[in-house]
Amino acid sequence: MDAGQKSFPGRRRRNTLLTLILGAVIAFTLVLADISFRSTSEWSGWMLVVGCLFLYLYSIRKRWSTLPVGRVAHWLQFHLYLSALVLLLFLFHLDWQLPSGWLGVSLAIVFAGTLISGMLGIYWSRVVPGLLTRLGDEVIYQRIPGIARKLNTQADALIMKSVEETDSVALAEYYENTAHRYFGAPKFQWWRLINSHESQHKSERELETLSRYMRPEEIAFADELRDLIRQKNLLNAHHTLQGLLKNWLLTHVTFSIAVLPLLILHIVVVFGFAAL
Amino acid sequence: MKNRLQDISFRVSRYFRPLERWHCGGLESGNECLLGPNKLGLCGRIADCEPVKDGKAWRCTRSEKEGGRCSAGPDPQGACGNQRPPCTPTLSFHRSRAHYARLAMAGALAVALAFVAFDFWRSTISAGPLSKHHASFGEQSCDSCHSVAEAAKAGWVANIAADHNQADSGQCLMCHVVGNDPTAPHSLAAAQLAPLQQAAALKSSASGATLPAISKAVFGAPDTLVCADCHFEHKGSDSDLVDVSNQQCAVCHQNSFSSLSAHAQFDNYPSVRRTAIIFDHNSHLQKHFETEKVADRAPAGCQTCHALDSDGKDVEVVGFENACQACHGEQVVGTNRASGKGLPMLSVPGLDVDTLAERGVAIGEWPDLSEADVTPLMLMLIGANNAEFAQQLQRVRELDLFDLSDASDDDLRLIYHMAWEIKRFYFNLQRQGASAIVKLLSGNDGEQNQQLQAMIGLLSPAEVDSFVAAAFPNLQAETETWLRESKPSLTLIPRAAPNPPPEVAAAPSGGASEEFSIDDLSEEFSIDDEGDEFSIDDEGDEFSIDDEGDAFSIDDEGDAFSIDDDEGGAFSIDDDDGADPFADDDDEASALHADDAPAANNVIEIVEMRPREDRVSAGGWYGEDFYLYYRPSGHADALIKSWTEFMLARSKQAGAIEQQWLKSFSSADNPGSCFKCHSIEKQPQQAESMMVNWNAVQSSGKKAVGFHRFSHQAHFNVRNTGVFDDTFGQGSCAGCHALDSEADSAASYQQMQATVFQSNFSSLDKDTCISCHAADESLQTCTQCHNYHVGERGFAEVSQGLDAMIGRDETSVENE
Repeated sequence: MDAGQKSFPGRRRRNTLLTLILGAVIAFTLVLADISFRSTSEWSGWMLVVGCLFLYLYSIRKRWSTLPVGRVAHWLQFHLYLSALVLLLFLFHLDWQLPSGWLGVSLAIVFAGTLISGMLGIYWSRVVPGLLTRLGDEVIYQRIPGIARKLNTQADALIMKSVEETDSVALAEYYENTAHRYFGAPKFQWWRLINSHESQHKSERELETLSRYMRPEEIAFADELRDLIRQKNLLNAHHTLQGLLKNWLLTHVTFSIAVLPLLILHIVVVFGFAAL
Repeated sequence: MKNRLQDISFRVSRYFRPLERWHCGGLESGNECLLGPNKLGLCGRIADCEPVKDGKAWRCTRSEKEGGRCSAGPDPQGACGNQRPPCTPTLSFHRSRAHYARLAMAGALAVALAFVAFDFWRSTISAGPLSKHHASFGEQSCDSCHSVAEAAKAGWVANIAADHNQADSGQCLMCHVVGNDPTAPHSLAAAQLAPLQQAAALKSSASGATLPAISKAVFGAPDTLVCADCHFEHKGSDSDLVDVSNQQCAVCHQNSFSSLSAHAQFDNYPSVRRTAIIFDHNSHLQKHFETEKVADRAPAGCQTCHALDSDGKDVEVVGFENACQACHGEQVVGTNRASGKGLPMLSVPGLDVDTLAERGVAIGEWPDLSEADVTPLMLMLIGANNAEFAQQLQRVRELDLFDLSDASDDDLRLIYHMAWEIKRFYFNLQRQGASAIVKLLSGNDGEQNQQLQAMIGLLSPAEVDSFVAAAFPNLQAETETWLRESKPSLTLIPRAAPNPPPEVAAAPSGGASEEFSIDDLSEEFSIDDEGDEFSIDDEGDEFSIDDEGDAFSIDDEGDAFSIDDDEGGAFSIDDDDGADPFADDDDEASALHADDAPAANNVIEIVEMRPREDRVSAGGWYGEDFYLYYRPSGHADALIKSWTEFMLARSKQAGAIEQQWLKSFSSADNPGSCFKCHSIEKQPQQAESMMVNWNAVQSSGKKAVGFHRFSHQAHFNVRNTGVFDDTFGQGSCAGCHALDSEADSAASYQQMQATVFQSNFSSLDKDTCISCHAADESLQTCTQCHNYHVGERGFAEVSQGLDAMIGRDETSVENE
């Protein structure tokens, strides 16, 4: 790290402080303007438009990575802290009340969806990578369905082999009646966000209980099945966490794009009708 | 961990390109091919490899990641031995995101277009439900307030460039009346606001409002405000359209404060002017009802004379009939008035006919018995068509019309013209009726003037005929002759020495056959008009008129007409033949001769002849003593009111005659006693115009409001039992309105400035308000007690179409 560069916490403190100061200045200005009967809704509205344009510019900056307009990482920081100011302006623009009117409500919902998905995205992009690291294994998101199918096939084959070699159906019945649900398509398990391993523990307990009724030669097959279940749980965790990281952005982009037509119509209507 | 989910070593794991547009369809099944689909999303390869020819044989090129060389190897034609079934490539996740973004854009665009494209666009683009005050407009009536609503939608875009800081509030003001200058601070013009600012500057400058001070320093106080700056519509039915914060008020005010306790002490509140009705609470509550005779009429409490108005805000006077009639009703109609129950409106003034005749001032017949003054109205009427003459007539009031011996020639000429104009006036009045007066007062449009019609309407032709006949028996002939001769000019006879007496000049109407003689020395007066004898001989207190010819005869020697005051007041009138000056034609039954008294065995009660003023006790016109009087019919007499308004309207440009008429007419001692209670004052902003306060409170659809707002009803609820308490206890009205027994409120009406006064009540104490309002911050807002817009408030006259649209009628307007 260069001497002139701050650490991440340092940058975050600095940026947060700057954002808070700027937010306070904006809020104070709007309050003062409101007292002097200035049209704060108009002021906050235009500031929102400008803020949104800069937020959109980040997306463009990402696509045109060759543009000599600063590093994308800086743009992202700017995007994040500007979003906080935009949220403040949004609340001022709404006069801290719920909006009304079809157009107003629609725009507010879409705009709020953009902001909320963005805030969740910030949170998840900070938390989820750590959770993924803790999982201890890596997998490409797009390959998860194929791997799940492969695990399913392996489990089926394992149980068939177990029946053939041990002449016992205890493990097979367990697989048929209970363990089969652990396999199949990858599942979204929200508790992965809190780093819960309940699913894994539950299968462990089931196999532990079942082991008392197994023949000794079945125990080995049970251990293999336990490992497959563990892998499937791990795969579900990847599916959940990676899915979050990918889909919040999809939601965020979708909302932010939907804002544009409604925002333009809102401006036209507001200013078109402003002059009574 | 025994197994990894995915071996990502480069020898085993295939390289994955997430940003590629298409992915192999076998990806989800874990059976994707090595090369994947092409850029068009078509399955590119269905074999594991592309064998290469090595010499004469084909060699497998499958990579080690795919398992290395396959056992089958290429066929003799060089085709891969591991052919796969073709797949359907899928869009990559990365590209899916862009796809969904486009879909979102298209969907939002469709929604936006739908909002404005269909018939329900007014509902969809509406900023929200209207407040309950405007809810009746409905969501489909945008154009009621927004002028661009029905314009082509492209016009909305063009309007963006408009200057929104000067947004037009005209649409609001089509319905709402909010003072004279709605967009100016407090709806007051700068000239009106300036004295208020100066007065405020003199008060304490306690300031507890920091934010407004900063705001004012940064942005400055607004010079003008449009309606939408303060009134936010489309916030729902329960929204408050007048939600203005204390800080917003403080940004303009020099003395700002953050709480009611810092508010300046009230200055003579709530009295901002003297009461419209001249009423002394002290005398009425402490003096007038002390005598036993009227003690039972004493008010039991405030409620006796006051009541809440319909909206519970103001306490109004219950009206003359309910509050004052019992004691003052008879005063108005003059029942107990000794004399002079009517107002002298017109007259045939008494003139010094001897001197006039002596000086050759031929005014024709003139009742030498008249002792009437020329009324100001009379002068005003005869001078109505000639401004120069009207100016000259002002001198008449300075002359002694009963002794013109010292009058100058100019004065005599003036009297000459005045006399004939008076005759012409009565001539016209007889022939045209009351419209003659109306025309004089307002020109040719007079007949259209309803106010003037109301003023004159009750003057009956019969009354006029009777009055004129008594004063001018030959008015028609005289006036017609005078007019035919084109108002002959006057040639005055030089003032003669005391002896011999001057010759008598013939009146124009008299002609050559008419004789006119005056014998001052013998005090005999005779007129011989070709056989008609007219003689007056007051020597020996005798009075005789002998008209045995065709005109009339009065012979007080016989049974026709006799007055003998010395003989015990016997009085008899016989008007069978003559025209009695007092026109008793309608009293045939009562005009009984003493000689015609019935026999003693058939007693008929002789009804007492009552004065004419008493015979119009219900009000109306009557002639008496060469005056035409009007007696008020009762309280709120339409004629008196109309005359007063008319004269007040003229008072601004009136000359001395009008001023004098108004002064005499508006005297509190006049019959009707209107101005004993109804104050006259100079109109605000129009110092030269005066107005009469006919009502205690001027209430109408357009109600003038001041800076203060107060609901008595709401305060009854908190101070007492929620009702208008009718006692004088501290818990009711007197709890706030303390009587100031030392105040001389009557003195306030000795001048015309309504705002220079002394109230009957002490100023309200601020602490009285604080005792309750300090308990809740929301009760200390500026708008809790103050109006922003002052002046005339209400609804403008709007088109019937708009009224119908919003379902409003006149009643609802008044209620609002």
